[in-house]
Amino acid sequence: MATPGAPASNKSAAYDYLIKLLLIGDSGVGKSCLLLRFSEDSFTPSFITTIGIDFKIRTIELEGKRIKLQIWDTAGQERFRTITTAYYRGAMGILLVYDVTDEKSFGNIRNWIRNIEQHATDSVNKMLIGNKCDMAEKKVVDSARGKSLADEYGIKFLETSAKNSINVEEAFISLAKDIKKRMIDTPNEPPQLHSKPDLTQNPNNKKRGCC
Amino acid sequence: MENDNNNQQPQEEEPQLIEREIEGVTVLPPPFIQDPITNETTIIQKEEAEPAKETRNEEGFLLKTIHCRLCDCKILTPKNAKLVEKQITLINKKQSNTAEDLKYMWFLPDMFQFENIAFTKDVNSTHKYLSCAECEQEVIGIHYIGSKENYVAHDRIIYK
Repeated sequence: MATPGAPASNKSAAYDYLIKLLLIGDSGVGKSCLLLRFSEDSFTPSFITTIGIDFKIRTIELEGKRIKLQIWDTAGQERFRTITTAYYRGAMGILLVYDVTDEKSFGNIRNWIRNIEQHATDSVNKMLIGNKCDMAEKKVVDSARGKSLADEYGIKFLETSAKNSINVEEAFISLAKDIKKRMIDTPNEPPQLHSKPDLTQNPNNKKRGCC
Repeated sequence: MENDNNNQQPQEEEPQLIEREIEGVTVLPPPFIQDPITNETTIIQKEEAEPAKETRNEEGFLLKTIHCRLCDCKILTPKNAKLVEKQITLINKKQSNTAEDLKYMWFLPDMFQFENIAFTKDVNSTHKYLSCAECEQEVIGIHYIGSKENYVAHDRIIYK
């Protein structure tokens, strides 16, 4: 029998592309649940839940290519209030998650976007996710407001239910597709015609006509 | 027994702001997690049957796909792991405070050889446990932070 040390296979055989994603949002919005496939059994908190998951690797097929998603769950880090530059480094896509039954988590999306604008690279693909859409009777953030916020920032929007597996896979695939398009299909992005105004200089510039 | 309190409560520690790079992503890890295996854990020496011959080729490389034994999620595809003998202690499901010494391991030098897998937070800054990405019901293997080596226990998975 062999001993550890030798590579088990050619690295390139395992996948075509690797995409790093982050899940960001207030605690309790169900970020970790987006990464779980629910069964009756998984409602029983397992021993793993107490240790906590750092990240997952998921493999998807996209337009004939095998893509490895490395999905980082920021759960537990929200208590640092902001997530620092270090955490964003290397991330290609960010799922911004709020809970449709929690107004505050929706309001905080603007803070999270500000945090991303300050710390992540400009080109990072973002997507807004309204989770727990199965809880219709408790819903306080209607779909139109989610859509309107996403439009304001020019990002995609989906409502999901981790519990009923609604749109969860679609969210990851849609974001992965956009990233693939940006980084792989058209790797030489044309230079921007005019540089973005530096909004960080004057915070008042950030205010937009809404709410 | 030194400690009467078997049911150890996770302690709230001060966050340790140490940046670390994992596969190109620099992260600010939360406080280390205490290993669920303590000196009060009962460790069972499991008598394992060697994996069937058809699970691997002559060099030991995997010929089957490996799935979660609880939810069927696909964990590994052929050729991406090699059978090795290495004794690793893995905690049992639930809070029974028992663990097993297991020795037949599927070894992967690169974490991206996994099809689907979950990595726990750092345990004692030395390792992470591996679990099924879909059900997270039990520990199926280990990732060593220093060497970046990954091992999946033959005893805790099924083949197809």
